[in-house]
Amino acid sequence: MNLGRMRAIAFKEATHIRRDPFTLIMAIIMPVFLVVLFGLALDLDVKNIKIGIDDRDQSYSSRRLISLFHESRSFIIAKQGHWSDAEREIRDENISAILVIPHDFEKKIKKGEAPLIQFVADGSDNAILGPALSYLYGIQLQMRQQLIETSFQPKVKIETRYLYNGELKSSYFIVPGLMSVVLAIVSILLTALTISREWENGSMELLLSTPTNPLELILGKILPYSIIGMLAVLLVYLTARLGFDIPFRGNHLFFLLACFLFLTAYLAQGTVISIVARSQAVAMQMAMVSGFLPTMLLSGFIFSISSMPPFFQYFTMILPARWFLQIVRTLFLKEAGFMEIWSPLLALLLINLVLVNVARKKFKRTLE
Amino acid sequence: MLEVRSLSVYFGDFAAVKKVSFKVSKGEIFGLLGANGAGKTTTIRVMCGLLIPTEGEVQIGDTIFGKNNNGNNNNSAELIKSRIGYMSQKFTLYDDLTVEENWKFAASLRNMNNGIYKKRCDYLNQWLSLGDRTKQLVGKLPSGLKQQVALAAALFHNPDIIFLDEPTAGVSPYARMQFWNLIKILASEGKTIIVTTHYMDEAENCERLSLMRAGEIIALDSPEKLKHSTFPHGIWGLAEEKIPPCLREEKTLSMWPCGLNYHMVTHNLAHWEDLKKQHPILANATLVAPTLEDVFLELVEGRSR
Ligand SMILES: Nc1ncnc2c1ncn2[C@@H]1O[C@H](COP(=O)(O)OP(=O)(O)O)[C@@H](O)[C@H]1O
Ligand SMILES: [Mg+2]
Repeated sequence: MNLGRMRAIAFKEATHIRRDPFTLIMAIIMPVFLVVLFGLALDLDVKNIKIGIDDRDQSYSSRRLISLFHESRSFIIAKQGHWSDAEREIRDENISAILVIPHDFEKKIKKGEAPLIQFVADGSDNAILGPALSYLYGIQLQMRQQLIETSFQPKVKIETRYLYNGELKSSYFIVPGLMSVVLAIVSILLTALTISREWENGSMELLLSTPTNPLELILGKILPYSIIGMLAVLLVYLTARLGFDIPFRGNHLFFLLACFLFLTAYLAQGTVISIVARSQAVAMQMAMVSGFLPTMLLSGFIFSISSMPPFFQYFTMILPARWFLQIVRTLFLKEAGFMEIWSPLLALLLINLVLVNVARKKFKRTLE
Repeated sequence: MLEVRSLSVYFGDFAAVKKVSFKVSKGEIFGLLGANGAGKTTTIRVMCGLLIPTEGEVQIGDTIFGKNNNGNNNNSAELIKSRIGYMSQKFTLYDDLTVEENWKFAASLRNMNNGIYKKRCDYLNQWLSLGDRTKQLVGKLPSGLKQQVALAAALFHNPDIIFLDEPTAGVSPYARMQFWNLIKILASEGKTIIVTTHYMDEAENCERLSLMRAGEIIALDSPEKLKHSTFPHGIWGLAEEKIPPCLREEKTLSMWPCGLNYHMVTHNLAHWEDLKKQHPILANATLVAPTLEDVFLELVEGRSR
């Protein structure tokens, strides 16, 4: 391991990036753009879902439940009443859903049984149904805490985050998640392309004919992109704070550390891909399949991890985004200390070490 | 200086190089000549430690490497990397970097400090016709100049052995001549040079040549000796319209068009004398000097079987 050679490779890569502003734009502007775009779109969708409420219990508990809906800004109670045909009512009254509280609601709570409520929604409007269900889930959690005073311990911590997003504001929850997904995609793509480009244009052959070793090459390649990645993090962070008024309640130093570990993990994954792929087109596809899809679908960003089949729950453990999401949501929404994030931080660090080592091992010093 | 012993490289079942052996001594310009796909690049890659051969070994100085090296760190193929300079066929320089940036990069991969770098720059620049274009992007240079810059990049660390894989492909004849002058200067300084080409005229510049066909060396000697051994009875040239049709059927003679003339080679001297008596027109035939191209066509393409 020779630092001078690593620096030379990093410096050369930085020059490539300087000469090709597209990379820079993609790396820095794109994340901000995507966060703004998705943040705004999601924010608009989920506010003010009009519902009707049919309270057949008229008890203290049912009124508390209704007030939870009142407090949440996601739902507007457009109408209260008693309907025999909810479906027609939804159609005629131009509301999205009807909440039916059965007459034994309070009785069941007092007996310690799980009360059932009915939420009849217009399934044809996906844009509303999805968020509505997730808020409903949030309200359900609040309800368990406030109404059913049993000590409810969620199995997986991530569920409790809703509790700290008191207003159930979607952007609070979604923007930090979005941030991790976007950064992951950008960082994995950039590096996946950088080494495969050297294979593709044949320059790898020249690099290999020098005493350069794999670690120097890999670290030298990652370095400039991790700086760019951190810049992107900063911009996205500012966008989140200033553009979406998202509070940040945790410690910034931990946040930086988490961002760095997260980025390097994806950069290392990108490197592994570009070592294996040897052509930019293949590298691109592999980055999509191994980076984009799992990060999008399995990190807990869209589907909550606790509701996945057990196999996938275990699988998420090797995804840097899963841990990062956990850290970021904690830091944004909670006054979390080191104790609350040390385990995901450690997980990120381990993933990093494994990936860099895999990259080093995979990297043959010969042209096959 | 460099010896290759019974080298074979297989890609799957396909033999790209078959039992190739040769020796190159210090200060020699050694050429590998062959058509596309003959195995020249593959042979060079093995000598540079970039490919592990299926069989055989390479010795450079006292360092031996071959199929037993698995391509990991600290093996002998790694040891020679500080002693060799390599110009590859596929890629020479980064087009989006300037000449200077390319050189700096090449030099820092060799751990060269600034002082030595400057000295080497001055030294190499005196041979190049680069002028003040060191700050230009390489992509903007004419291809002849680009090849010179690439050669210089391979020379920064002052290697003993220089491998040049088709260094003059796609370069104008004048620039090719300039490039070969550089190669000769290097050889006169004691550098060992191994160069591949498919330009016959420039192969004449090599002190020894190995002709490759389908992964095998089919002839190895100096250009002059190759010509002599391939055409021991010389090549006879005769204007086409004068050739009697029956001569074309003659089994002991190979015949091929060359410009306005026909060239003929005899495989049987006694018979040739007979033919001369039968066809007085043959007395007009003149002896022409064989070129490497003739040698190549004869041996590699098997023109006259
Ligand atoms: N990595 C490889 N995998 C499979 N076949 C290869 C590989 N490299 C070269 N070959 C084949 O080996 C033969 C020799 O190639 P090469 O050494 O590049 O020839 P040359 O340089 O003389 O044109 C060619 O037929 C080529 O297709
Ligand atoms: Mg070749």
